Amino acid sequence: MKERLVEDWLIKAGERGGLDVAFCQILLAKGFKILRAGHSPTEVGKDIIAISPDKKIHAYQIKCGHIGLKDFEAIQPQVTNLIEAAIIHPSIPRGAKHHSYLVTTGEFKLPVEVTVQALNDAWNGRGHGPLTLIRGSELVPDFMKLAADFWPVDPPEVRSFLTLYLAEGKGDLDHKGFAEFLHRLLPDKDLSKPIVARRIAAAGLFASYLLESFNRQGDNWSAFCGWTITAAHQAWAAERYGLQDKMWKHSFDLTRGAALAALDRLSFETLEPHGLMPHEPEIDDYTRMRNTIAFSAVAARYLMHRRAGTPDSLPNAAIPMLDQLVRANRFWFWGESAFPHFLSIAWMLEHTGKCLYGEHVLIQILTALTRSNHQLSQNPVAGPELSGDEVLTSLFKKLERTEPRRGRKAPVSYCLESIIHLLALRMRRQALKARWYEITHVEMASFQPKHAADALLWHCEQGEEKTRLQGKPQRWQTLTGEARANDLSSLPEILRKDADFALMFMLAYPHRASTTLVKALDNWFG
Amino acid sequence: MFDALFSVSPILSQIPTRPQREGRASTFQDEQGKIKAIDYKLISVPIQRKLEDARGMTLQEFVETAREPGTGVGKEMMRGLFEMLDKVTKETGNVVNCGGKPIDSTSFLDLLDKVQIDFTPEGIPHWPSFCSGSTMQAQLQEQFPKWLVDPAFQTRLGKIVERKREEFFERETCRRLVD
Repeated sequence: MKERLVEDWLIKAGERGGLDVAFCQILLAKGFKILRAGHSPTEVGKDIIAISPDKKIHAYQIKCGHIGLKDFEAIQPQVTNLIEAAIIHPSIPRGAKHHSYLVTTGEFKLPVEVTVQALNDAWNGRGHGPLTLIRGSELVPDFMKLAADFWPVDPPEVRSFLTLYLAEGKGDLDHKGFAEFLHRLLPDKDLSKPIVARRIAAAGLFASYLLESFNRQGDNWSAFCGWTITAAHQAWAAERYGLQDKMWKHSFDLTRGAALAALDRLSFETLEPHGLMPHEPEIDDYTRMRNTIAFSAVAARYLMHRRAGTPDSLPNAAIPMLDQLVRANRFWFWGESAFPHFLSIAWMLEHTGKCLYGEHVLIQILTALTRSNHQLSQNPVAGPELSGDEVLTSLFKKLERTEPRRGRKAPVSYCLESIIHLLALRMRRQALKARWYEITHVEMASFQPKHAADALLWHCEQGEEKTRLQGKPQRWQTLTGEARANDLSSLPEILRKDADFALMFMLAYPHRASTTLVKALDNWFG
Repeated sequence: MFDALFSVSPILSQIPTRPQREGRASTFQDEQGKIKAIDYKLISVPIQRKLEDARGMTLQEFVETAREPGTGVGKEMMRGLFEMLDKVTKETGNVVNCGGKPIDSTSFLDLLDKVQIDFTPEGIPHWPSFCSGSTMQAQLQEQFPKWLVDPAFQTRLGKIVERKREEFFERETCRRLVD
């Protein structure tokens, strides 16, 4: 079954976010060091550059499907670049020779093999190394070997794995089920460090299998969430078992890179002309939910580029488009899981000369929460554990039937404290003062895992849920003091060290947008 | 099952609840600002079904099988609630003892005096609900209309309400952001 599944995946796998990530995991398992992996205009025919344990340099061009003569002729300029263009990388001396490979998920037709043989003679005559062809069927044993001991065995686990694998790839990623699979692969047991390192690599490979349908269908948001959840579980295992960076960081970086690539694709897709146009008739709340998620991806990439000192990398269309969407009220706060998206958008507004708009977004959310989530409310906004899709589904269900008797609700808010602190840090004293009466009627909830690293898991068994109230009365000076203080020790190590990943994590894990994380991100990106 | 659970007592559907999705410990802050831990209790209700050879249940019987554990859990919740209330009121001295006699207007007003009453912004009281046994309920139903026309009862009730209103507005005035 396993071999058949890998073969099936290879047939379907795309070159981006599919075979490339999985192939890198294989190289890492063989002791290669990955110098660069990714697709960009500056790749000069080389998707992956790696150094083997015997210090030789290898460059790979990744393709998908069967390659016939016509396909080969179409990609020949890239192949020529792969062979002839020197590798420019700080770790490689200028003019160093490299080995070149063309890798595909399918087969090479006979005329292609003959052509490559002839071209190899010509390249050899000009002092270049030959092009080696690697077929999908040659990769299957490597893929099988890397994850050999870690495939699900128990029937319920096999069933849930197959359910995840057979997802249509159009918004149907089961985040919880996916995270449960990863946690079974990276369990909280007494495993040896080398085994954990192998499992971390295998997690990246399994994620390639399970997220392929989302890559193929162009559901970049689900692909982004899936890769981010995978990277978070890899980082959790590394922190839990105290692994040295060399044992896990390369696998994590590949996974993180795949998540970032999906976020990039979503960001560019959003900014294309008519990028947010519905493809079929749909309700407006759904459209506004998609606008919110899609534009938060644009905002996140803008914030990351800005922090890296390259804010111009984003197309010029982004800023006027944001302005237009905000003015026309084309975003939707469907529940507290929308908070991270609005936060990214608010930070982008602040950095593009629209400070008041950014703060207004926060004040609007604050007003909505104090209006709907006070202690006597029976219709609170949905909590951060419910996605936008789940909120919409529940709205439709309410139309269908009356809800069974469940007693009174005890509404709380998981993001109110973060918003109050952000507004206090922005000295919005009057705005808070005007709403303080309502604020004191809302219970602010938070969850603190027993071990800081456990915040990286989707679901955490050990920890404390806290509900607190704001002061009655509350001194402004005390409030600003509390807002300025931020003890990062309650965050997992990776979130303290990697600001970009922390932002990605908040978007993919809205139920983990704690006040500490939000304030850390505000410090980095706000 | 939930329908059966909440049918045990109207008190149950008045207690605000929400599920704790993660972790096993929980704390909350009361209106006085004190942090308190929630002491979760496991409630289990054993049920038995006698099955007969070659005979299933009717639809009604089948539905009732879900009601039975619901009712059982509801009763256990009420028992736990009264135990907890009994303990807390004894600890705080918040007890009105009628000495085994039927409740009279003085005891009732003493009772009212010991509970927190909230008001609308216009000062109209949100009257509290009282939970009583069936004997006391019968006594109250008989006596309460008589007390209401008693001038002495009305005077003391008015004084209590006035004091409670002042306490309420004092509490509410504190809900502000100050320098």
